[in-house]
Amino acid sequence: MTEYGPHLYLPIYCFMKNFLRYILPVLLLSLLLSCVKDTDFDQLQEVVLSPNIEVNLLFFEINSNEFIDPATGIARPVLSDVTDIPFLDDSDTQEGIIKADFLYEFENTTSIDYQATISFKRGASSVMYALDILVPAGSIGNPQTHVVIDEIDVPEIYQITQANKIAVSIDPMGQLPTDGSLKMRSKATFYFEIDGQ
Amino acid sequence: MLVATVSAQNKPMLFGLDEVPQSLMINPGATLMQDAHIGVPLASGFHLNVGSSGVSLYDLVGKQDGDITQNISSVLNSLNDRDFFTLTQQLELLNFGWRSGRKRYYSGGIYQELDMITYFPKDWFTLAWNGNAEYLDYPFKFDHINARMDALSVFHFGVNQSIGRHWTVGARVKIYNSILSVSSLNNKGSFTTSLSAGDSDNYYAQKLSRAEVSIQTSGLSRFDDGFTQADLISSSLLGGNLGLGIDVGATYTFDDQLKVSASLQDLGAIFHASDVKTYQAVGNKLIEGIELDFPVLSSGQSPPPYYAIFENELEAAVPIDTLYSAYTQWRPVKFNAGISYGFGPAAPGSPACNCTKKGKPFTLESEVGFQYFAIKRPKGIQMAATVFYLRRLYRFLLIKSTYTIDALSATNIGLGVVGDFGNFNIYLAGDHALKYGNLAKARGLSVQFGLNFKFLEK
Repeated sequence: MTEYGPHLYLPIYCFMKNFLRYILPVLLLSLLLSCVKDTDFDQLQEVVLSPNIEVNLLFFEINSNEFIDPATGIARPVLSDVTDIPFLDDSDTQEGIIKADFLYEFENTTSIDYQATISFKRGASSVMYALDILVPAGSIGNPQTHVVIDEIDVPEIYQITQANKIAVSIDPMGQLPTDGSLKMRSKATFYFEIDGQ
Repeated sequence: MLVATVSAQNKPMLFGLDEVPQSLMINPGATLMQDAHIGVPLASGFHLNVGSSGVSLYDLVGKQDGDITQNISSVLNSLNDRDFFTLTQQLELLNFGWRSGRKRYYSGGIYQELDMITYFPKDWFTLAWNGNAEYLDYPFKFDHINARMDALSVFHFGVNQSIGRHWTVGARVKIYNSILSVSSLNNKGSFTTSLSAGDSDNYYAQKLSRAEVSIQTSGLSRFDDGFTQADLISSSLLGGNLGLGIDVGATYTFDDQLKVSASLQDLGAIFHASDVKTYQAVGNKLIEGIELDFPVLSSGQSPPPYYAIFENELEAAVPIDTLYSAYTQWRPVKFNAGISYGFGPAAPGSPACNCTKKGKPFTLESEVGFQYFAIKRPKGIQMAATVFYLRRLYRFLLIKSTYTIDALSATNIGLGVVGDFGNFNIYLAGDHALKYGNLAKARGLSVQFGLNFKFLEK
């Protein structure tokens, strides 16, 4: 026992007794009474995020000479191409997207019209949604700009979000052009609604 | 400079409070009232501080009228990228000290600390909440991502020396043992969506400009296969990445009434060398979308893998690398200063004058004063100013009340109580006292308590 011994323990004993008898109950009571009031965390489930996302989509430029197969010299009746788009059929995207606006902007400096078809496909052959666009003829001196906005709401949006490929086919209407080009630019606006549940 | 109200690690209660041995932890040059002390292991010093500079829990999930989405949206829109959330917690495992000769006091111990600060990532919140459709031409900036978290244990030993009649100076050496450190600081660059003006072949020019984003981690692999209590104990003792730091401080006592004091804490750094991983993405990229080529395909041939090419080009332009190189991180240095003025009769239990060299020193019944606190944080210095009134009520009880100046709220009142029951010393302190009725409405909360034994030579 050190020289501090006896008078060390008595005050601790007194303190602990008073602590247990008076201070602790008051502390606990005040914690219970105070703490966090007037809040409702369940509300968080009702929070709805609604971001609108703008993204670039496809673009291309087809020069008039590309309608001829360079190897054979024979005209290609339809030009078509396809790309994967693995983001639409993602389950989060499927649940979150409520609407999508697609904007296709063509600039035609060739002398003929085109039938353009944009197809949203699932796999190689299932077409979930397709849009036909007639692109009017123009000239190098007078480029023809043609803009199509395709607004997709419920329920078509559910078709679109099943797709994992976009295919584009360009069908020249009439005599193949000798000069100029057909350009396309495109973008999409995806409207999300993501809730907290 | 930013004046922040909620300064984690600010301990206005303990600074200058000579009755509590832990005042030495804030100012190693504090004037002392005991000849030896030992803390109750694991209970000698506990400190918890949570804070948010711009928003309270009630603001977010309070029972309010109106649409919850709209309420949260308007609250978060009112924040900016310098608003922050902090959490600091300290627990002393051991604290002891003893006088050597008349003028020197040694002290040492071990404490554990968790310190976190996250700035509000305003731009990225906006992008997630609203999207980019309404924000054409607006650069979403990566420097809005700024956060730091450190868990460490600190082994310290200090010396406190009185010099002449007026000066008390002190210094403390600290060995930091980093258990876990994760930070994302000094990010640069931006992401912008603009209408193409010849710079993009598609409709938009979506640009990642001079992006430099990194996350530095150290000690993370410890958590790979679960983290047991045994792991915690072994990593709290040495075994992590080490660092070195010092605290310095001084007090100048003019007379029995007036004294000024100041200290710097955690002037030091941790050298992260083992179990270090830095994830880093650096680069520029104009994202145009996917360009179709309409190649001539013979039967059975597939078109080019456009999307994979697109992804590869993005990854090549802005590669995400994992680095294993060592890095050094400065500790958040803290500055405290204060002036206090004592008045009234001699405190209960105090000798009548400052004429004996042994036993309890002479103290006056009341003290008023002013204190200043500053801490270096990633986006600048955060400050707090405090006025206090201290009253020694009985031999065994003193109270200290503080009012901390606050740019956001005028109601940050703190209260502290120190009890001396024989050799047994207890302190309990908290601020934002007016908010204790409903903590949900407080933007900060700070509590401190500790149990120690103090000894005086008779």
